[in-house]
Amino acid sequence: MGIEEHLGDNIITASLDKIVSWGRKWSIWPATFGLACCAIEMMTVASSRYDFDRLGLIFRSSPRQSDLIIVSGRVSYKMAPMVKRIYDQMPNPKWVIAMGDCASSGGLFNVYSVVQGVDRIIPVDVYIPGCPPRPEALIYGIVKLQEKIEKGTIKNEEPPKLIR
Amino acid sequence: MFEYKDFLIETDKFSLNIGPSHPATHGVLRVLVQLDGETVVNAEPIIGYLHTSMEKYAEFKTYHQAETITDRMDYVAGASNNLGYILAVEKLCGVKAPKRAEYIRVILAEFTRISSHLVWLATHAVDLGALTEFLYCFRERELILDIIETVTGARMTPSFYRVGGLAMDAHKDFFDKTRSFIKIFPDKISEYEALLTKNKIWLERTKNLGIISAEDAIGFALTGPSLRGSGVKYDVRRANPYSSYEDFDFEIPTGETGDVYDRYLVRMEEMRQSLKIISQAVENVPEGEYLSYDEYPHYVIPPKKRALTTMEGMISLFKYGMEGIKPPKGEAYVSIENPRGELGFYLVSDGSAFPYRMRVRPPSFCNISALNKMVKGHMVADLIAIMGSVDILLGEVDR
Amino acid sequence: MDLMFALTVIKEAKPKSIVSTDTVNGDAHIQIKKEDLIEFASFLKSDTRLEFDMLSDLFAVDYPKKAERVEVIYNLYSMKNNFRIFVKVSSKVEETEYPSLTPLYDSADWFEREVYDMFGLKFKNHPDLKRILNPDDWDGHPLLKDYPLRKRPEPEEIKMDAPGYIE
Repeated sequence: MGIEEHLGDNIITASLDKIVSWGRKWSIWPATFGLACCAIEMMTVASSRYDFDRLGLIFRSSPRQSDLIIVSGRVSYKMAPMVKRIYDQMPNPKWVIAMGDCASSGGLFNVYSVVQGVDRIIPVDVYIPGCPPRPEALIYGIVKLQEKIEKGTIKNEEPPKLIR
Repeated sequence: MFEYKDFLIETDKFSLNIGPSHPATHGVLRVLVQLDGETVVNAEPIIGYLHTSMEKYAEFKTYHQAETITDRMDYVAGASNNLGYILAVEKLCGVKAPKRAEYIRVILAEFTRISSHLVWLATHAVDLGALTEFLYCFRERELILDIIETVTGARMTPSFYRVGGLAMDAHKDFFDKTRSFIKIFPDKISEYEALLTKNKIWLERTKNLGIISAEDAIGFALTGPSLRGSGVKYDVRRANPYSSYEDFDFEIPTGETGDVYDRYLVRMEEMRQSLKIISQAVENVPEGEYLSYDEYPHYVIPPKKRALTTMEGMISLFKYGMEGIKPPKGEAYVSIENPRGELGFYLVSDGSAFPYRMRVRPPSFCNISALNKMVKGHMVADLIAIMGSVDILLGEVDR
Repeated sequence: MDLMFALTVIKEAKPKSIVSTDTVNGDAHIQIKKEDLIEFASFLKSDTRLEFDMLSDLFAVDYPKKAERVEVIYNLYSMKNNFRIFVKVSSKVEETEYPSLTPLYDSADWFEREVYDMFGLKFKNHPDLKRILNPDDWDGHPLLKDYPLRKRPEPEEIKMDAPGYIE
């Protein structure tokens, strides 16, 4: 554009969308929200061998401070209102990862007390299969979410809708 | 001038809700606490937020399929839970596994005990502010999961046992890795203890907290480290030995006062004892078959090699896959020592391929029911320490 | 003291309340009459030869075809003598009121709540009998054999504003 020539190396030009998405992409803060088996694997990812922090993920204890919720495990009908409430408390923009078979589709437990997939309550961005998924699978899921965030825009941002 | 009484604050009773999504409740436990100022008057645990109806679901699965449900119950100690269930089915059928299989089962069960205690120590220490412990414990836990993965193919949910033995024989790699783990792990336990055991902050936050007497502990049917912390020397491995535990030499650590610190010490010592059992088992694993197919061809799956090379092996594998095993009519109860306490399986069979009723005697369920007794009169901040010291696992509390 | 001796002690002391005794796979099962339950349990707990001091488990099994449909099983363990017995009590559908063992054993509290939740049996004199695993407004008792495995509400029917977050 010629501005760089004029102002030297201190300036880069990009669209606002790109810069905001880039910032969002590398600072996803998940809520500390564990349900079942997958929660243990989620803890493992935060530990020394897998080290979540290098992807910019830092667990926050309050949903008010977080923009990602990892639904890690089966959601029972008794728990469903709480999941929804935690999701509603998170500020926009927010993303959801359904970790494991149970959160994605009910998985092994096609029974009376388990909600058949958390996407019936809250909109899901990334599904991670596995029972429980390996920590590497969760990291892959995070990378996929980062790719999705990268394509995002700040113009006319609408909160995601539930597809039933 | 102010007088002393002006500084006194009058307090009213009020309710505080902790959970079901709270970083310190280790899952989806909800505790409704009644406080007077900062003192806990009454604490009511509310459970069921992870209810998965496993007991009902097992009635619709064949005996071997139901095994996969059991390791999702206590997901930190999957191999331990599988062992209890498989032993119950074996008791129902009158099958006994060969010695080699029993030893490998013991190694896996003790490994899960160590890894479960490591998860407990990590989360418990984080709750009380010792974050380093979390990184240390998960470092060694990964080594254990690697070893379990070498033989079973899964990290947390192995489902590796079969009625009358194992799904496959353990590889030489497994024993080599186990031996090298035995070499390094004692130093690591000392490392954990160096951070906590004589740490002033740790002592202040755990000593004389959440005391439960031996009598109360038995009344509430507490088992495992929570009971042994109160000084009762009860361990199912010693009281009713199963799966060749009578062959091994190990001690049962007990506490004296039954406070949080004692329960911590008991678990730390248990890790050492588990390692002792593993080292004895690894050195003395007998050679031979890993499935007792020859003795009980009606109930036991043929070894893979036999199934692929002989005709009758093939037919029995096919029958086994299509119909499942059909234990005789009857009832059987087996209890084992899970990392959290006595885990019992009560199976009722009506002669068909599906269990008529599977009842799980959940150790954490009983342990958490005594929470109110333990926390009464303590500060609300100590509630977290006490809750952590009981070591509950919501998957098993709610089933 | 071994289990067989304990069985003879129990049989001699309480011949009237026992319906039948049985040993299945090495475990002792004693079927008793429902009205004698509290008396029988307090005898088991207090007798110096037996001392069944731990109610290790309490659960029920549903037999829809039998006249006495639900069978409640008490798993009692003696810490001192290291043996356990299973005390069974059956009852008809019409009269599903059981005496509560909470005065004798603290652990009975939650176990009885679970049996109430899963089977709908009511325990007389229980301090706080309500559902424990299922939500309070749940329909039916899941572990009964005639409860379908996959009977669940539609996601639209879940009340998202969970009532009574702080009671």
